[in-house]
Amino acid sequence: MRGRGGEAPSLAAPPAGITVSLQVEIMVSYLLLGAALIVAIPAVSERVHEPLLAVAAVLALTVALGWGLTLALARVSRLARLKASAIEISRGDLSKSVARDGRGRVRDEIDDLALSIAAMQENLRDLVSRIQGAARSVADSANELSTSAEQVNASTDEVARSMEGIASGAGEQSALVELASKVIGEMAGSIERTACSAEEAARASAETSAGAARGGEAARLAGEKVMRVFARIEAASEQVFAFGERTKEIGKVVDVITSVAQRTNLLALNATIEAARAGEYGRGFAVVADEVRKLAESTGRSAEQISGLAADISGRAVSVVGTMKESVSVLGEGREDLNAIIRSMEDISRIAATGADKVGVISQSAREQLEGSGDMVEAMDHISDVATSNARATEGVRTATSEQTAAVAQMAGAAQELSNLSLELQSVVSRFRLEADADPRR
Amino acid sequence: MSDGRHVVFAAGGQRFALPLEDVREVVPAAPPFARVPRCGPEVKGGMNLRGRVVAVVDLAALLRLPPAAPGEPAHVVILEAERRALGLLVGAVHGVEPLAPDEEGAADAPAGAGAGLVRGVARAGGRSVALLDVATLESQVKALFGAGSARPG
Repeated sequence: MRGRGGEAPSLAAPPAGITVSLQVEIMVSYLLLGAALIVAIPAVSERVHEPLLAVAAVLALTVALGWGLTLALARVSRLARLKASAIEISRGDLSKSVARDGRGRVRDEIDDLALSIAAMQENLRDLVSRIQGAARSVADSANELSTSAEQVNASTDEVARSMEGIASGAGEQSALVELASKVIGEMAGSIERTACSAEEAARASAETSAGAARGGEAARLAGEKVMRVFARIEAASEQVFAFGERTKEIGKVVDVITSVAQRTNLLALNATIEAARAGEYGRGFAVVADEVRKLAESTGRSAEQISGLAADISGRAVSVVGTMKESVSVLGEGREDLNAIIRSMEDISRIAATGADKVGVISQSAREQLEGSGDMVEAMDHISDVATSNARATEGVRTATSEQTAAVAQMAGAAQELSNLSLELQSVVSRFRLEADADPRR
Repeated sequence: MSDGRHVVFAAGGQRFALPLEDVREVVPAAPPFARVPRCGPEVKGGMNLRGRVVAVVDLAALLRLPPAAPGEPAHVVILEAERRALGLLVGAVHGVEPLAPDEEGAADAPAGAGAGLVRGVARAGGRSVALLDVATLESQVKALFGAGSARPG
């Protein structure tokens, strides 16, 4: 009691006054009663002659005095009040303070009892109040704990959902990385094919260049041959021209022959005339002259034939020369064409060489791209590994989260249990009434 | 005397014949001829035949025939006429050919200045030939020279 603090200092230090034992009080009462009776009985017997009446009066007086004295001196009515208080306390009603007699100067055991009961009540009230506060705070804490557990649960659910999302994202990432890897592989294949095609194109370009160079060389050789043919045709043309000139000379000779034949013919004619003038003597001479005339005519005819042939040859030579001149001009055009072909071939060769260079560059860059795509595939593999380990880590996190969820559920259960316990405690403690707000018995 | 043989030649696109005994010789024409003054246009001029001067008369012009185209062979038929030599400018000379006398006859003889020059037409070598009359020819040529001397200028 003393260690519980100074809530009841009046109990610790009882009020000043004289402590009179109940026994003494009752004794005093008896004594007073006796004294009264001693006085009263003679008085009554004097006044009242009726014995019965006198006895009755004495009895009545005794009872009245005894009743009054006990009430006045022992104040036994206090016990009834104490009993009521004790009953109330036993029922848990701590709201009413124990009735205390205001006559504090003389005390007896009943007063002490009342004081003790009051102190007990005070202490009980304090205890119950503390218990009630503790139970309330426990309940609050349990509620808070439960709320926290719910929040943790919600957070954990969120984390779990996030983890699910991360896991599915990791799966998608993995699939995408796989797809990307496949695509890059296909790309690498196509790049390789491109590189192969570029190399083939480079070879083809080189062959084209070489072919163009060979074509150009062949065209150059052809041009030289055409030049030689040109020169030969010119020489032949000159020869044919000279031949035609010579043929004209033949014509001149034939003209001379023709004129000689004509003159011979004329001479033969004149000889015939002379022979006719000679008469019989000129007959033989006339025969000779006629023979000479025939020879001259034959010669003239041959000369005419030769002349025709020579004219024909000359004409043909002229036409041959013309044809040759045409051929020469055609050949000149052909030579120009050949020169154009040579230039075209050189252009083709140069363009093909340029194309080969460019294709070589393409091939080189395709090779580099191929290497780059290999690196990319490697990087994709790395990414895939990372995604896989991410998925594993996510799985671990998910496991931890589920474990956490279970722990939190356990914690929530415990909090619920605690809450239930505190409620039970509160209901137990609530039987004690601490406040005196509505007590009709006061 | 000459067995009917004639010298056949062309002039003005026609064939003519002269008896062989009337022809002295045939020489190629060698123009230009030396002009003879006071003569008609038929007289081409004079030519030198081995030292002798021969007057040359264009037969085609005498017969009023078209002149010979340039470039055609030209000959001079030298006629044997007494002491004077006369040359007829003709075209080609075909030769000496015999003419049948029965084929002679006056047919389509040219009129005008050349009238009477053609004695008849004969056939030689399958082709017709005009037979010239030498006496008429000589007289006409003399008339030409005479007319030339008679006419002033």
